[in-house]
Amino acid sequence: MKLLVCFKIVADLDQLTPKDYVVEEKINIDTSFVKTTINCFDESGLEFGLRLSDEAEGLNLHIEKSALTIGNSQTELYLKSLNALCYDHTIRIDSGDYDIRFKPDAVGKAIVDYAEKNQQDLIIMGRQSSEGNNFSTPQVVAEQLGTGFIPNVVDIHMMDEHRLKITTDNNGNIYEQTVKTPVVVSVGNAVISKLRVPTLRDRMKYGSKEIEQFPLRLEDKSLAGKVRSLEYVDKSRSGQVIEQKGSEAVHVLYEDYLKRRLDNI
Amino acid sequence: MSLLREEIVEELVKICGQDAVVTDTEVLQESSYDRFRKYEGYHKVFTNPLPAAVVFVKDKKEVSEILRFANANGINVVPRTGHSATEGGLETIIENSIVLDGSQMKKIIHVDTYNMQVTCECGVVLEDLENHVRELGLTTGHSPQSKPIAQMGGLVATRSIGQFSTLYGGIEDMLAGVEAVFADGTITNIKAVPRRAAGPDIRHVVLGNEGALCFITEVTVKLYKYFPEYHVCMGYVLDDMITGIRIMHDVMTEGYKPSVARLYDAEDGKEHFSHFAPGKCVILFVTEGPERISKANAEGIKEIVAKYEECEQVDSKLIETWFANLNWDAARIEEERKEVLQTKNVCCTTEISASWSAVEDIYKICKERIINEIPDITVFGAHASHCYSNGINLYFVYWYNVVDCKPEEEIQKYHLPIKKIICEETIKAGGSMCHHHGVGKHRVHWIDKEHGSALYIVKKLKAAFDPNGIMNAGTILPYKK
Amino acid sequence: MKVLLVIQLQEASGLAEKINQYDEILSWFPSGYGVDCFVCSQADISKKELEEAFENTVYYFRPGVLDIRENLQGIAHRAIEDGYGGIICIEDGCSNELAVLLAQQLKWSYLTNVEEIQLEEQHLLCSKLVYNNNVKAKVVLPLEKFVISMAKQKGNQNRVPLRRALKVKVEKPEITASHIESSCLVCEKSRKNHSHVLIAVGRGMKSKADVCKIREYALKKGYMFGVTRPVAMNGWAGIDEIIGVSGSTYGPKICVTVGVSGSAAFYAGIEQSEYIVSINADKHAPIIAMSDVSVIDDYENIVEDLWKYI
Repeated sequence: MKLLVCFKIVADLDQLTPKDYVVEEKINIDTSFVKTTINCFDESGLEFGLRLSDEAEGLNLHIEKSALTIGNSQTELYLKSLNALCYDHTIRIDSGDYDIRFKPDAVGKAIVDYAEKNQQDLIIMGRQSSEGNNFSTPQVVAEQLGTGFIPNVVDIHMMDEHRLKITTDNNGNIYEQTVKTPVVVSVGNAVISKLRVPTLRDRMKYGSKEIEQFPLRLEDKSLAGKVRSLEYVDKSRSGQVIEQKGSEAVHVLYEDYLKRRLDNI
Repeated sequence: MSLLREEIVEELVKICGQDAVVTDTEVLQESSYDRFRKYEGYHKVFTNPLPAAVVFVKDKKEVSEILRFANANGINVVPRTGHSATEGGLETIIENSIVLDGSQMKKIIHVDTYNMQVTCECGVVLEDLENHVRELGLTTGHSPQSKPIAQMGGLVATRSIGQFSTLYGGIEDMLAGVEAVFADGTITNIKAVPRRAAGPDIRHVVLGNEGALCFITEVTVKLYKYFPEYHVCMGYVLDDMITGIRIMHDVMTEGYKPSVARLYDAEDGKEHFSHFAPGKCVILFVTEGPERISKANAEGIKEIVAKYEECEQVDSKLIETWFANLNWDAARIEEERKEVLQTKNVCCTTEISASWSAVEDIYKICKERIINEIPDITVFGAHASHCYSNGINLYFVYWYNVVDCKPEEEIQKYHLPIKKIICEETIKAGGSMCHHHGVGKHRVHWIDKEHGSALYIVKKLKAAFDPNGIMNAGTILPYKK
Repeated sequence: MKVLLVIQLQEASGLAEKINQYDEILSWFPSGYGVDCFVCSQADISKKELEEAFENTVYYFRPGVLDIRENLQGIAHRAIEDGYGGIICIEDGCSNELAVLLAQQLKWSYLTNVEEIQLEEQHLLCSKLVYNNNVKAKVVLPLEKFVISMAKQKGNQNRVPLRRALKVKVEKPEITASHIESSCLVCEKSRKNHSHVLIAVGRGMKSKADVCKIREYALKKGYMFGVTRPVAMNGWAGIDEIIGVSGSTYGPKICVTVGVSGSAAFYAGIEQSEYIVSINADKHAPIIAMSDVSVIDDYENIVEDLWKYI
């Protein structure tokens, strides 16, 4: 079975303060000064890839697993780590200066280009990522490849060479499905969320293993909506303090602040 | 004959009231260990005997009565405040211990802005205290990574140190006065004075006692004016850790006083700086204080670093952002718990100190030995974060996968063997195996080598102040039944 | 111009919430727009219920297998056959996925997680949250040939009475899933005790008895109740009552915190509350700035009176 996991490296937005959200030219928000991390849903996908490989071994099957990302040279560190975790292929599609934040069509097309040249039985990727919140790339890939698509996957297990047991969350109801490959799955809040860690020895052993490069083909035509502007949303609350104390304060609290809200409940 | 658990609980309830005495199993389990055994704890495996109760004291009188009771009946007492200890100091190694918790004693008693000191109870969270004095334009100058959760009693008991120590010093430089209750119930108050020579400095009997001599109920620490507008942040990327150590040496010996001087090797730096310094070391400095002093320190440091051509300066915003996200709060600990349970990958640390001439070899030997001798290591690195004119600390940070190993076997298979190498090599080179986390219960194996002939002083202190051995048995000195 | 609103239902009881969201979306479109509904329901909904819920035309579809493509084929077919200019999917577990698949198949423009739609002269101007919900993006879509999936809406609570759909048409499934061999429900959505009010107590509480009293009151009124971690670790509450990153998260209409300092670990458990009220004796407690309104006083002076009102 051939498995491809697509992942995105994102800025750790929890490290940004409100004053860091400055919208610059070309609707850019500079996040270059914060740590990066693997998009959390994609991280689940990468660990699923390794787990499926472990399960395949137990069934005397072989999975050829690949990990692909679209991004700049900062992603190489993560790809090296995936080499050390024995992903058979690690692929980087260099995005260069191209802004892929709100371009799920371009991202999807790049993955499709790769998958068409390197046929895959299972493609795994996260449902969404933090910056663009596009929630679209897995569907673009599935539709353009013409394969089956399972959304919001929370668990995946091997059954045999051509079938998987997939657990999916459908609006809070959990379903177990037997699914035939080829299929694209998008990962939601999965049962596993953290990628295992390679040992120092494996990092040294596989450190110089090649990271494959694949070209990005830019297309002008995109179906996704065009972002016109970005604006920081101030979510801080009013922090209003009632001057009075004791019973008087409670009276003011109820009459001026709570009554209307409680009536609407 | 030792008392039964129920009898202990009954007496505690008589002293402190029902509400203050907790005997819920889950709370007792969580109170039987600290972060040294976090791997076991995250797996809900509790290898230490359960305490009889956790008692939340309200004042020194209750502390005194409880200690007198425990002393008369040979009951082990484990003093605790913030529960953020990392070396096993809070482990209840004896059945039916009493965990004496001061976290409810959380009053800030008096802020003296003219004499520049603040007095507070032992249960005040450092971050709360710091926020309180910042409103007045002041700072305690104390900022360990545990600031959001650590409390003043524990911080004094462990001889803690913070990120700004190179300017403000460690807790030993900040503590002006302290009140503590000893094993026989005696309440002592060491008054806050600028300096005195009225015999040995008895603050140092209390400072760093790790609950093995007394229970700290109240502290007075110094305050400093806070000038955030004059902070200068400088960061550099370089290839070699040893070069970094030499730069730190030059800065300190030339007489400059940054508040922060930190150096990360490439491995430890990977966890923090890979977005701008992948595979490189990072050295950073912060100067602060009145404008002229801050600027002068910054200029001097820049001049020294400029002599090392391999150093490349980075945008200070990178360093500022990193710094703002450094501290550990309850949310981060919870995140760690989830990550450890899923990945079985654990991070532990051992911090040492040594002279300038010894530290380079200690770094190299420890790195070489641990990578070769310990299995399943995923990261082994170090950073230096506290500088002195006569030396520096090294904070070894190591991660390993726990492979084919039950939770309760993890420290024997990985953590203790790593610590053994670091402690022994450091002591051999003339350094100290404990820079600021305390001995706890897991570095007692090397306490004789650590102190050498001076162990005599430590033992005599213990014999004098805790003759019945009820104060946190197994801490600093090994437990002998 | 005709727009097709897609509503997916797992159970009949979910219809009321969808109607509120439908009403809100209707209000964005002027009377010149014909807005019809395509209801994909796993539960049985009667013709009468559908007629009273929606206006104009309602297509009603019961999918056979849990396969997103089954819904997709039916909707795409209807959109082309009846000349709809746009499709809007009301929020559901997989509405984003459905919308993008539809757009890819129809080769229409698309946008997911939309909060609001404004009709402008030349285009639709949509807003959505990006960057971890910290930034609002304004996004342009053409006036025709668009597919939108909505973010969760509060909905229009003021129902327009006496609605009657003109036509209800039952749709038949067009394809059977080719890649799903079997599908079974293993766990139903849990129906937790849900109230619009949450009461949270923190380490400012002076005694276990006080915590118990507030808990009793909350349970009596059918409110949700929780504590900060230190309160549980004091033995004054159960571990399962912890609110925050190491416990439960809530999004009530009103959250009342009593003696809570406001650590980030706790706040993560209540930040989705619509309105936060805090009672705290310390005016510098972080929770004050993170609340909508606060009373700075000892809780003992406040709570007995407060319970008379709420």
